[in-house]
Order: sequence, then C-alpha cells, then structure tokens
Amino acid sequence: MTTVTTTAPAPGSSAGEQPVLTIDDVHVTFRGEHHGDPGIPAVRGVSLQVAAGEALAVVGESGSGKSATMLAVLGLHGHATVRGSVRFDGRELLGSPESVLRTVRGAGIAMIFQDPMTSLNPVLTVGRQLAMAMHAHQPGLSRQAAQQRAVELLERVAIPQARRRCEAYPHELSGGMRQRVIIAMAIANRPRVLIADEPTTALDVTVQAQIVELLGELRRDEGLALILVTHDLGVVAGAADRVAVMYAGTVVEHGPVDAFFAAPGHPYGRGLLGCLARLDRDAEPVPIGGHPVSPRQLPPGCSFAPRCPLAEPSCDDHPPSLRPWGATVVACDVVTRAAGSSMVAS
Amino acid sequence: MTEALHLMSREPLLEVRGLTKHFRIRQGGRPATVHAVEDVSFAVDAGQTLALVGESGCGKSTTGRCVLRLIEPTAGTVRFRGTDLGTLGAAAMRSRRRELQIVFQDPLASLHPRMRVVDLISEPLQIHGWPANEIPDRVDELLALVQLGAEHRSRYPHQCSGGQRQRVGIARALAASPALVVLDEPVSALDVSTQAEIVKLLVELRQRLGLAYVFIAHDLAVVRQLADRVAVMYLGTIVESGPAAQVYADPQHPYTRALLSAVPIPDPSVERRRRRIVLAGELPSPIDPPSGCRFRTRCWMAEPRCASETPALLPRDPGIPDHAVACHLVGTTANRSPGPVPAPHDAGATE
Repeated sequence: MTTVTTTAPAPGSSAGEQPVLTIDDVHVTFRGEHHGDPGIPAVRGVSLQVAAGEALAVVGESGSGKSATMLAVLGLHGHATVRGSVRFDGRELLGSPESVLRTVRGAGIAMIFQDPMTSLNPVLTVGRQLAMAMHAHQPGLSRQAAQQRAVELLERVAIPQARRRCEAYPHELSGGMRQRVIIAMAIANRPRVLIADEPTTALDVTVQAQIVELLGELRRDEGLALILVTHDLGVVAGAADRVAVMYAGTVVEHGPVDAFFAAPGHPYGRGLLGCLARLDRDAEPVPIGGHPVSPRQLPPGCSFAPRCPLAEPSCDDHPPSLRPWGATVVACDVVTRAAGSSMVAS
Repeated sequence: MTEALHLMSREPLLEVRGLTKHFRIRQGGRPATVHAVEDVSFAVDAGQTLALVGESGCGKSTTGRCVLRLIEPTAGTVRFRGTDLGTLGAAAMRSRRRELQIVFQDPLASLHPRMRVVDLISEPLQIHGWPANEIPDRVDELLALVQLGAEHRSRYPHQCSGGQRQRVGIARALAASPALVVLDEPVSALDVSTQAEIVKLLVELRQRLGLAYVFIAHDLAVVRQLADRVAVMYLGTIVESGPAAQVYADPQHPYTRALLSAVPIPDPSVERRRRRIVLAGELPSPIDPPSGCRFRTRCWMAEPRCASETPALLPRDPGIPDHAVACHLVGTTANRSPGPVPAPHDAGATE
C-alpha cells in the first residue's frame, strides 16, 4: 500500500532527467550443466538507463541477451549467475533479498511478456486475477475497492464492457484483449517502470497498432518509463525515444531513434535495418549473412567480426567498447576510427 | 516453358471458384458451424505468385489447405491444369500432389525429428517413384538448390538453425519438381535476417524453376517482396484483389487501408507523420459472421445497406479491370476522400 503511490510528473524531455532505472555493467551467465563447464555468458556487461516518461527500445535477434538482461533486472533468473548493478529509484536491486524484490516487482517495476495466454491463469476470472495483483501490494484493500479498481483498470486499457469482462475467463478473450488485461495487471499497482518483452509479437498487425498506441498513452499520461524489448524495428521507430541494439550479449549501438534510423553506425545495426522488408521502400532487403555466434564459442575480439563486411584483422584483438559516433554510441573500432580520422581531415 | 503453356491455352494453372469451407463443431454441447472460408475465388498463372494476406482467422491457411485437398472443401471447385481436383480419387490426388506442394510455417513441427536431412529429402522422391539409384544425386542437387552445404546431409532437424530447417522444408517440397507451391507463412517464425535470406531464396527458385506460388502471409512488407498479385482476406472472404503494386499504392477496401496503415515503418520521421487507422473493436466470430459485408461491424463508413447486401468482389474502376473490391462504398465520395478518418478510429495524428 505504501510502496509507490505517487508518480513523478511526466517530463517534457528526457534530457537531463534523472533515470528511474539504471542497469550498470550487468552480466548474466547461465550455469554449466556439469562440473568444469564455464556456463553460457548470455549477457556481457550491459548498461542502460531509462527516465520517467521515456521509452527505451532494446532490439536484437533471438539469443542476443535482451530478455536475459530484463529478467536480471527483476531477479527472475533461477539458474544463472548475475553480476553488476541494477538501481531502481536509487536502491540497488542486485543482491537484494527476495522480500525487497517482491515489493519492487509489480509495484515499482512491472513486466509483461510475449504470450498473454501463458501469463494468465486459465481457471481464474480476469477480475479475480486483477484483484490478486492489487492485494499482493495492497493487502488492506477491501474486496469491493479491488473490484471497483479492476473495472477502472480494464476501462483504462480500453476494454469495452469492463464490468462484464471482469467475470470472463482468459480463454473467452481474444489475443489482443488478453494482452490488454496483462497491461491492466501490470499497471494495477502504479509502477514507475514497465518492461514489455515482445508485447506485440504474438499479435496481428492491426491489434499490434492498438497495443502500441495504448503503451504510448500510458507513458504520456502516467509518466511511465517504458522498456520495449523487441526484434521489430518498425515498432521501435513508432514507439521509442531511444534504441539500444544488442548482439551476442552486449550493446553494440545505443542512441536516439532518429539518429539511429537515419544512419545506423554499427555494421550490425546497418545490417538489421538493411535486411528489413519494408512498405515504404523498393530497395531489396539484404540478408546479414552468416550466423549469430554461439555464446559458448565467442571470438576473442568483436563478436560480430565473423559476419562483418567491414572487419579487419585488428577486430579480432580485443572486444570493442562503446564510443561516441554522431548522436549515438557505437561499439565498432573500424567505424569510430574512420569517423575520427574524417573529423581530423575536415 | 511458361510461354508455351500460355500459347497452348489461356487457362490458368490453378483456378479456385466459390471455395467454401465450414467446420462443424460443438459449442457448449450444441452443434455450430464455423464459416472459415466463404465463396473464395482466385486464379494463379504458371510462374506467378499470388499472396493471400490477412490476419489470424481470416481463412487464408484453410484456403491453402483446401487447394491441396489436405482438407476437403465444403463447396466450390479447385481446378489444376484444367482438372477438377475434387473429382480425383485418393490415389490420383496423391500422384497429382507431385505437382502441387506445400511449405509450412514451423519446420520444427513439420519435419520428422528422428529423420536426418538426407532422409527427409529422399522421402518425397521415394513416394513419387523416383528411381532408387538416382535419389542420392537428386538429394545433392536439391541441397545445392536451397543452398545447404553437404555437411547438412546427416544432421537431424534439431541440429539445424531455423533458416536451415526451412530450407529443408523447401527442398522437400521441390523434390518432385512441382509446378505450384503453397507457402504457408514460410518466414513468420524466423528472425528478420533469416527472413530476408529465405525470401531471396524463394525469389531465385521461382526464377530458376518457373514455379507458381500461393504465398500465405500476414506480413504485408514481406508479401511486397514476392507477390505479383495480392488477395486480402477478412473473416473468410476476399475483400480486395489485384496486382500487388496496384493494391499497395491505391488500396480501396477500408480493411485493406487499415491493414496497410497498421504496418509499422522503420523510420521515426515517417511514423510521427503517419495517420494510422486503428480499427476499433474485435474480429467477429466466424461462427456467427455479420450479415451483408463481414467487415461492416468495424468499418467507419458502414451504411444500412452494408448489413443487408453482401458486396460482390468486382472491379470498381473500368480502367483497372483486374483490381477488384468487395465494398458497396468504394468509389463514393466518402471513401475516395483522403480526408481525416473520424474519431475514435483516428489515432496517431500529430497535428
């Protein structure tokens, strides 16, 4: 009842705004299956932050470590070693006891997943599940008040006939409607950060448009900080302020959406945009070529080098770090060096 | 070869007329009928690609399966090279399938997990009576065709990546040299980079082998890469069909317009300026579809007439006879005007 009842006013601009969530040099290693197995380094030093009212998109292909990073934020990894720092509202979450994490999950930071059907309990009505979410953080809430609030929440996420829908079971709802219910549950305790992991991937495109619209509204109206994990760059362009591109467990490019989409810096970022089929251009999509590296056999240098059209022998020496490149930061020595020398030349 | 066929007859390779599929189910103990596909007609010429596009539950996959008689249509005819497939017995149909193949969305579900790649690709050759001593060479040829290295021969599906598995699925479909392949969401389960690879492969194969495709997909941006013609489906019916370039550039049916406007464009400046038509409401149940026009319950222009008369799929502009639309209101001022879409459907307007 006491955790988070007020939300910071929505900022006009995210520049200079104090981040509400700071992920700092987070590593996630899935434990090995037998003695002597070093395990799988799924996330290798990811740093991100998000401010109130801001939307950060984290993009990458399957296995890039985007979801593993987000699960680490909420301490949801069962069989992994997590290192680094995650600060929410100034408090360190990594290493915090379960009792503390439980007060943060849902009430401070809420998370929604790709498949709404597996996130909902099939044998409980929607209203009951919403009430349970509220009671987890507001044990003193009366049954009647919870019911009333459940109706309000369903109305907030634009579910028609909200009062009647409270009595519905998940299977009676369409996919888009279920994802709305999940979003209603996620905002039930007025969290300040919403992590949406592929929230529209399982949905049809017209329904996707509705859900993206809703997430944008919540961000604007309630000052929610949104982290949108997705593989769909089209959704990113319409829904995010900043984008972080992940590859093989690291952030390889990070910056404002306009700068990224106008001219991605990292060869992988360029590849991701170049391989998209799009409605607005006739250019034929160009596959990136090669395959993502196995996290068990990472090259000593840049992990994208084996697939990279710009790779040089020196790329195999050491992993590149993020360096400024225009308005973004890029982890590619070849690109940032070229930019540096052209600046000197001009 | 395509040319020769055309000279011999003007008959399309595949012609579907009035295809209807109803599923009988029990709902709460009472019998009910799912109207999955209702009176669908289209034709595909040799070497041509027709895309059936639409969202979940629009009947596109059911249509694809009815074409191959993997499920039996309730009504309507499917003619392939002039033969009504519905008249063929089981054995005759099976041998006809040498020319009519299908690739499924999820290769992990459609490939036998305990068969190696070489056996998976040999199987259709054996079924269609390929001489046993020629099969190994043909398998190598097919692997090369789908650009899989010889090292994949002895792998199991779980040892291949998603893209490699889909290549195996395509090799199986191509094994017996079909003339037409139904592609049922062949790239939907793949990462974007792999999608681009598979689409590129499908384009190359079409050119090399003169294949006709029925490409079933929900992703309009992917469809644009591949389709000569597009048929847009909604709740079991085709609402618009025409040359792909024409439909994309000048969509006529309100549903097509909404669908195209919902496709995200990876450019923030375009996205900010875009007027998106966000459809209100939910897809009605195919058990009890709306009377008249099936889209009318979500259409912002619907008139009383739309509830009483089912619109026919007809060319609306005599200048473009092969662009057909099933809407009473196309051509009227309400639809023609590009002006603002009335609230609450109007969203994303920035001004």
